[in-house]
Amino acid sequence: MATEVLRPPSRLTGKHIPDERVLHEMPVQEAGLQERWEQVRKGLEDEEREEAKVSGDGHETVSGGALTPATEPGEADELIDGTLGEGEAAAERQGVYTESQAGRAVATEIEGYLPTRQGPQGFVAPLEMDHAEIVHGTDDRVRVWNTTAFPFRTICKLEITAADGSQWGCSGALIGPRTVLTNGHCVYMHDHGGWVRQIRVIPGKNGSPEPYGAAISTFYHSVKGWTESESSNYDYAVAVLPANQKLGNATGWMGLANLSYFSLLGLNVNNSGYPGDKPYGTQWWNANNILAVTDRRVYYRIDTYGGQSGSPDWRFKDGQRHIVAVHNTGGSPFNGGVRIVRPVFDNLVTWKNLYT
Amino acid sequence: MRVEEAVARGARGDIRLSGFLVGRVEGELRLCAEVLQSYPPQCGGSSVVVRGLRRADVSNLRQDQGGLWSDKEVELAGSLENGVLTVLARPE
Repeated sequence: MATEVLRPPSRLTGKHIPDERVLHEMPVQEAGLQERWEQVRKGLEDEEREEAKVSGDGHETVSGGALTPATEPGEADELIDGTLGEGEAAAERQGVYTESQAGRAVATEIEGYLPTRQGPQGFVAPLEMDHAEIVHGTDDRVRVWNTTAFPFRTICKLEITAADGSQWGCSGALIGPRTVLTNGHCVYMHDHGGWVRQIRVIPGKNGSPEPYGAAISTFYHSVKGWTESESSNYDYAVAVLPANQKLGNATGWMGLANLSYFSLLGLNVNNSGYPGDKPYGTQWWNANNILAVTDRRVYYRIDTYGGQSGSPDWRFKDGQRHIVAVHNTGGSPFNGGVRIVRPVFDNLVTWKNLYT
Repeated sequence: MRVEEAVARGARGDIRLSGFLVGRVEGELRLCAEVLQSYPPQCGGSSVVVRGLRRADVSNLRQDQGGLWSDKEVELAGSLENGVLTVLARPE
């Protein structure tokens, strides 16, 4: 058994990550651990390369587009970092979402952690890599047929018109009455003119039906780490809905959570979004455990595809749902998302509270 | 060698690089470390411009809404100079 559990702290945050030797000496299945370590190593290298692009504080906020109609910032809302949104409180509570229709696949929101085994000095790793296939292999995505059930109704299809007129698709999630969480690369496209011209936001879109209508967003917040440095570590943003279209009050929203490294590793997270390889406007869910965590990113084998950028990775625990990361990349060996670390959390809460 | 590794090392000359192809139908194609999963996808992380690649030689190259991308990683053999990979052989 290893006696040295942690390697020197990250240069980014000063936090420790498990040492490779520990991973190898963990009394868990070897299969998969090497791959996971490879992702951690690669993720850290990628992260530091991406970090090198950033001068100053990458989380410094920037805004783009125009608010139409003009709005005034609302009064500060109650923080919902650890609780449910007020919209949800007013909405029908459906508990675990289980869709079961004859001849159709079943989408069951996953709760909590996989069985884990305690490693040396508190390091915990999942016992096994479940569902070891992603888009690279078997497609485990399940269609969400009832997109009016919570939390799927909070998840939005984004129809984007870039500054150069090109058309794009992304996903997002309402995190307030009129604040939609998504990726930086969905609101600011470096190769297509910068801030996008507009985004049509459609919560709970289900093929053609748009059960909560749609709103056009032309105003966005992101951070310099994305807009100036194009660093994937800072690939997060919000789109703001017009003041007279508070779609979030009809759908509710999930909370946000800034979880620690050890809380994230092995955590089962849910993801649902609007992939471009499925029938247009249909929402698809998948869940799996987080297999690798770095200072700014999480990696998992959740099946995803183009169009799912900006979709939320959320934890469902004790009846509450909290977004812990924002999906942004497909890669090798794992797909990944931007962690809601403290500066991300603070920015998102600030942006949410500006528009109530 | 992975594309991000090649970029980080400043590699040049004859090389085999792996990554994801992402680009525009009317524009350049890049070999990218990551795929930003908008639809169509965008190039993420480190990347190099790819020239001399016959699109018909890439079996899993997808095209939609003006975008062009590979669903899976590809490995390209060619010559890398100044951030441009000139492909010399069919991808594997």
